Amino acid sequence: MSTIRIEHDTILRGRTAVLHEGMVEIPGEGVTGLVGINGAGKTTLMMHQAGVLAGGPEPAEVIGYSPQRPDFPAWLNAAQIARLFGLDLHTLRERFPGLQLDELEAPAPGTLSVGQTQALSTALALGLDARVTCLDEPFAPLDFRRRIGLSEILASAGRARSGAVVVASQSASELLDVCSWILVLRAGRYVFTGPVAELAGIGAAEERRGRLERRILALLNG
Amino acid sequence: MQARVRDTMRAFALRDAYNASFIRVAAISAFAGMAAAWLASTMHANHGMEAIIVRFDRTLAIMLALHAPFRAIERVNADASSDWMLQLTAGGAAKSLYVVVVPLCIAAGAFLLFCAGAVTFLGARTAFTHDAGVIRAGVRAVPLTLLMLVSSSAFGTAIACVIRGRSASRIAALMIAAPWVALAFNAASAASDTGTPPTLLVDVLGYLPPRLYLAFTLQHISQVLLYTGLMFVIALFAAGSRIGRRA
Repeated sequence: MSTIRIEHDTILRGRTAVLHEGMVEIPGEGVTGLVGINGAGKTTLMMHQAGVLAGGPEPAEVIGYSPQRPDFPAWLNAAQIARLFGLDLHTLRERFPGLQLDELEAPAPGTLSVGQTQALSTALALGLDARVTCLDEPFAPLDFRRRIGLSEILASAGRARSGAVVVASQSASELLDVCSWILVLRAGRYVFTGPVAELAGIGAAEERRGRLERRILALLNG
Repeated sequence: MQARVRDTMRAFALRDAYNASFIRVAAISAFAGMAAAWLASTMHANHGMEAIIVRFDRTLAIMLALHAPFRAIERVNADASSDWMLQLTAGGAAKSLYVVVVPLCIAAGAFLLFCAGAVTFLGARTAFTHDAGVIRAGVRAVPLTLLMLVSSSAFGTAIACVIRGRSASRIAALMIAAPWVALAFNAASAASDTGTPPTLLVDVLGYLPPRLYLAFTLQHISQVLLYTGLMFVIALFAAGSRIGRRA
């Protein structure tokens, strides 16, 4: 199994270390869930991996990246935004039907809702078919339909995609549904990396979800 | 790659067209051109402010050229660490393409505003004077105006790529104003030597004979091109640490 090495020096914000020097390996295929409390350093890690942190290394390859609060130029409509990324909205709509991108064809520039913007951003990041795709809390602003749709897309991506998808999430259900691997951050340090099954164990879905939540909580609380 | 360049150009060119205030400013520019033509019909280009009105098209070009660097700085500052720029650069978009496209689009927007004002002015002026030479002179100034707008926009972009935040505007203002402040001091000092009372900078510029408008334009272009030449290469490298990155 190929792996992706995440390695970085201590990353400071002001005088505070947001992410401590560290190295961790995740699978080169499938979906890895990134978990941590607010301020644990998830977004910083995502930005570091995407190569967009000032002073950090430039990415050597294309990275699919969807920020936590995506925001697109207000003078472009969804199709124009997709073209700016070298992608075609129609193709994205067919590839990711669960994200309901057909709704984005009509709105005028600057009128996409927060959830619609997130759906477009996620589709653009996945549509680049990069070796590494980083999605920062992609579920958070999505409506009920798109949440289910994205879960299905990521679950199938875990089986069919050749690259790795890293998803920051706060929900045990989402982690259980879409992720095969999990990476837990506490105060800027890696406290666990391993298969989801190692934390969730075996049994019925409800039982596994409960066990996953309890073990993640235990890791987060130290 | 060509399609990507075309799409990027189109995407940024749309920014002005989308902006409703652009139409408003173009309308104001046209109205000012009309008013200037009417005022110019009662004036001669010999004294002070009159020269500024009588050659309104050149005045407008200079105003737009002075404004272009600040517009470029404002845009680069807004775009550089925006979420979509981070996403684009992570996705492999060329930062150097952005650095080239932005000044071209700003210059194109400024040129459209120039056209709105200058065409109205020259048309109305010709109607008042029945002299087709006015239009010929206006058309002859177009290549220099374009060069001035492009170099000014490139200068602003270069400054914004090298210097972060509000300091970029201040430094650009200092760099643009420095030679003209020196000129005004020289003019004031020469005026005091000859016993004539010192005049305001606007009057100094206004007293310049018509040919010196050309000199102003050339001076501005060469000054800005010099700065741009010095900084644009740095900017292309600096863009790597400035564009699509967030502290």
